[in-house]
Amino acid sequence: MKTRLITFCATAGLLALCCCGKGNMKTLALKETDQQIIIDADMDPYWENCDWEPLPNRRFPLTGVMDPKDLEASFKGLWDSEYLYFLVKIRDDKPFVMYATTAVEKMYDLRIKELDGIEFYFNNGLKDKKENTLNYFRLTYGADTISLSGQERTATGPFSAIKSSYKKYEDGYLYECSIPWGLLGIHPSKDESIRFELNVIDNDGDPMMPGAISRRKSIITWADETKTNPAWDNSIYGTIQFDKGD
Amino acid sequence: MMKKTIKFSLITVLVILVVAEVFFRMYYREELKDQASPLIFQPDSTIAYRHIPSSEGFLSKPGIAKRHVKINTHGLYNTEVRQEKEPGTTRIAVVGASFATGIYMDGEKNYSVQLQDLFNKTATKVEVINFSMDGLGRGLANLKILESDMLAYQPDLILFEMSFPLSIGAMERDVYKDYLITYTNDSTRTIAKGMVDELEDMEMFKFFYNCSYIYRAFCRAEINDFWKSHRATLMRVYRDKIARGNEMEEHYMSTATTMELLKTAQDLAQQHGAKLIHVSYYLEKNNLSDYFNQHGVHSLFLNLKFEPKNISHPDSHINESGHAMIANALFDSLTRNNFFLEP
Repeated sequence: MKTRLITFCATAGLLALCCCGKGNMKTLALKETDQQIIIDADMDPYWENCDWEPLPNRRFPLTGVMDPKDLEASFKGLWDSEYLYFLVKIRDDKPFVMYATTAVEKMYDLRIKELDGIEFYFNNGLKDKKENTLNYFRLTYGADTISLSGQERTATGPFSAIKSSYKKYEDGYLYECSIPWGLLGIHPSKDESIRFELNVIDNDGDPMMPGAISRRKSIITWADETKTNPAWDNSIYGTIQFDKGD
Repeated sequence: MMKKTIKFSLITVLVILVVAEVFFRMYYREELKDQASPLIFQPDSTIAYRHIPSSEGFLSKPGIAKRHVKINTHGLYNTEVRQEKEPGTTRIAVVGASFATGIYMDGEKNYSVQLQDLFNKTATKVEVINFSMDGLGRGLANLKILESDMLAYQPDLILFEMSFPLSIGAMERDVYKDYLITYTNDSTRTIAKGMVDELEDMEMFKFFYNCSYIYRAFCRAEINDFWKSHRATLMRVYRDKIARGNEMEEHYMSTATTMELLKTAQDLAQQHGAKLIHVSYYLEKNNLSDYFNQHGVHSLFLNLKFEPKNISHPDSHINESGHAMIANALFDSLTRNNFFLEP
């Protein structure tokens, strides 16, 4: 009887395992900085302490070959007791900015998620998610505001503490930002890591036909290789670890 | 002892499979049922595709019970109509995408049919003709139906399902070996046909898919990430009975260009004695009514709110009760305002 029970459980377990998949998780260790970081989109000396981490995967389009001149990106990250910092370098042969003046244009023509920009995704893994915990924001090239949930918002309220700055750089642009730990719901003094994904979006401003609004042409990602939308599935995120040194 | 263990393991596996098969057939019957797409389309150089005159077929999708679809001799999803208008008749033309077409719905009578039924109960001679064509990105293509097809029927009133801004990017459609194929050019048409041809040799896959709901469930999980493998793409083709040469991406005209195109269509309709009104089923928002007025474009907002009971879940289209809401709202609005035909 005991043997049969063990056999039953083993067989059922084996079947269950066959149905499950297991993915690899990308990991990056970020160093602590003791220098004050000024958010001005400059390649200041304190950024020399860490290497550029590339975004090697393409999420969109689903097929075809991409020219690196068209879109290529890499980033650096640092942290201190108050903020998590990112510097993102983007190579884009046709940076595109969309201008909308009237209320109707802003509502219908200005589709933020289609524009050149950077999307940050976080998952702190906490079961009790507080209302003002940041899990997504967007920096749009040419805009002075951060965007939450795809809608353009002027930086007011709790998320106004996120600072960002951008500049044209070589054949693309640089973006620098700082995120207070309070918004992420964690702190490196007691937490080791956070799940993270970075997407960079490219819109070349080429509409499908005259009079049409151009859509994003390509999206590249840091962690995910499966072309999954990170807004739908946070299991594909990588992990950034807080390197506390010796 | 070993033989007994193996025998017991096999029996265990069989029992689990039977239980799982029963489970999926009972609780996921709708999501995993056989699907069908009506083979009623042919490509068209002006409007991307149109119905094949006198064609018929079946539609079956999760949320939509299997239904027969019949296209009339003029290529319209409508009862037979004469192009010449009878004297004393007010002719209403309806044009839009899937909601207006009313093929993708659970139930039988779309809102054009129900609107006609309502007018049949009155003393006024009214004829409602549905010129709609379903699909993504059909805003501009459906506007072109005005000139290509509709004006020849001398409508008095044209109800154009609001697409604001006008969507573009509709793919072409055609029928190939009992499958609907969609594509944007000759190259993707060849890809679509190639997938259908490849499926012809996949006898084992088709056998298991047709027999087992467990297998369909696994396929469904794989299809959800269809871009990850060619096999998942083929599974999706067989499940949907649609071979997509490439994925549809809906684009939009700018708001400024949209208003220019709508005004031009409106003026063209007026030259032919028809009034064009852009109809939205939903609550007006963003002061769109004012915006349309400023540009001299006629609009009508029905201000309807569809409840879950009006939707063909898990499909997102409205069902017959949702179409009844639109028909009743249009009937009230048209009769109250004398069909909006007074200057």
